[in-house]
Amino acid sequence: MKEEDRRNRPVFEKREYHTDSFGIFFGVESILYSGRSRFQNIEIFANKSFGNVLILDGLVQTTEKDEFFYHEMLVHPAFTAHPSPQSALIIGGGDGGITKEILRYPVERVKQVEIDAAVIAASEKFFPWLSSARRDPRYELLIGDGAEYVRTTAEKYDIILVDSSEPIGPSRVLHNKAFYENVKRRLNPEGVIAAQAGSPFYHFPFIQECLSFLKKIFKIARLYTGPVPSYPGGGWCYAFLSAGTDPLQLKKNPPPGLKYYNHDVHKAAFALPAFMKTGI
Amino acid sequence: MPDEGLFFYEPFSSFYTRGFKVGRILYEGKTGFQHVLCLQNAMFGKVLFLDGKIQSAQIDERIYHEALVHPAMMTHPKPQKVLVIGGGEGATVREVLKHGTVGEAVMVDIDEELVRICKKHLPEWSGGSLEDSRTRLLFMDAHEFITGTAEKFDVVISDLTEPLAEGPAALLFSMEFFTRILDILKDDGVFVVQAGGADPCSMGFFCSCAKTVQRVFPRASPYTAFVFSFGLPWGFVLGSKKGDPSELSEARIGKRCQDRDFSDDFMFYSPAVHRALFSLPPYLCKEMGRARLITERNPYLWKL
Repeated sequence: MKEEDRRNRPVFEKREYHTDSFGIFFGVESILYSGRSRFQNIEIFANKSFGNVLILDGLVQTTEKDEFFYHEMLVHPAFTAHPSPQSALIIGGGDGGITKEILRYPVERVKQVEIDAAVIAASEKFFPWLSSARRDPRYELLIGDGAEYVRTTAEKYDIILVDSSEPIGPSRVLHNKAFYENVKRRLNPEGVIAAQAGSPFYHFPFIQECLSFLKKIFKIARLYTGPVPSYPGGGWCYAFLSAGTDPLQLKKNPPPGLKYYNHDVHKAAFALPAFMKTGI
Repeated sequence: MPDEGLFFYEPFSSFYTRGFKVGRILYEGKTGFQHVLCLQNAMFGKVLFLDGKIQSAQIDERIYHEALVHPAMMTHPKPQKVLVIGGGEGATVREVLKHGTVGEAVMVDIDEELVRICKKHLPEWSGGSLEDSRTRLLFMDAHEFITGTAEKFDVVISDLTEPLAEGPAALLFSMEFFTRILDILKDDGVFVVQAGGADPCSMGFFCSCAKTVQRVFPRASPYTAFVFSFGLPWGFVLGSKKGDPSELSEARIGKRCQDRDFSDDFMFYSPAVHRALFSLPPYLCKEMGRARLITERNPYLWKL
């Protein structure tokens, strides 16, 4: 190894194993945050390829450089398919990326229900978009249990985004039938729900299981996909749910300045590869 | 603990590495041209690495090879004579031969030993296609073949490793080489080249390939597909003399599948997916505007 390469080598390595036999390893330039909340382990470190990286219970949640793939694809398909979204609810999404994307639209109010105040506090320091979102007068944060909120609130929304973490740990309740039945009740007519649905590579049987109960609850329950290089398998699956609003009838242009989303990408994301019908 | 046992590390950059646990080493050694590693991994099945970079994995090699072959083959109204450059595993020819119109598939790979290793250790990849009576295998430098041949082709498929400085493919991604490919294509001819990662970190090569094909061919259509074992969106560039591949209707492709007696189900490609492949996100459109032309004098060498 050349002397220069030796000097530029990261000090630490963060290993994320997707299974016993495969993992992705990040060089760690500096550890920015490391702690344990009531709910989970929270780590943030700096990596030269991905920028700041947020890890919850050992799994990458977001990175500065590739967050746009995930956040744009969770938010914009729902917003461009809805005729005029004025209100939005975010369940989870403590790193603030979803909030940032929603606030690009002229909405009246955005409410976020995140269970873990520590994720918000840590992210606010190291992901700059979150602190600017928090200063926006349209934004309101509630620290609490998202499943409990949708069960008890009387408020209704045009768009509801479910940005949960993996179906283990604190997000377990965000992946079951009762939760989605409650979410449906919080939706205005023409409303749309978009939810992250896991990796088509690692979680295929789980995705099929969820889709089968979602199809019983919602008139429209469609999966769509997009890349997220820092997530397991590098590609991700999302669910578009509504009482009739069609995901392929686009009503609006997206806001300017996006990196991944446009109308072509939107339509393409719903053209599922052959294996999504049968499994890998 | 996952850390126990033997691992193979594939670096994407000095800051990001992927670790494959080695169940069994099927082959490890150097041919006259490159380093070859075939290993067995519990997650991906058999995996092939050339000069340390992943080429394909058993669990999803069909996704990669279908994405490489079928968009170009379907764009051509009646592909009969096809040239494959590289493609040592034999899976590219396997997909080509699924099109019933094909009378001859010529595969030119510089590395005879690699083809022998793949046939022995990865027989599922070629699936007998290299012994098919329609296949003609030539072990020679693709540059030499393309410059010397008087044959004309309907479709040319470039399935080469990314151009590492000392690797065998360094000069096979250039305006001059692509121009020569244009010359050996018939009037309806279609060319496709695998062009590496299309994520924001590694997209420079893909975007430069797109620009270079665009300079040479009447129409260039860059596209991406998702290959799990690569962990990234992957880039391909299709160059066509006539017609726009992204305008082919689902019904037209369905008809072509029928006419060509497709015997196999797709794992990835389908008439509906075809058009979707060509949608490009804004970050790639923007980078393509900034990309440079690749020439023999100014080659694009892959760096880690």
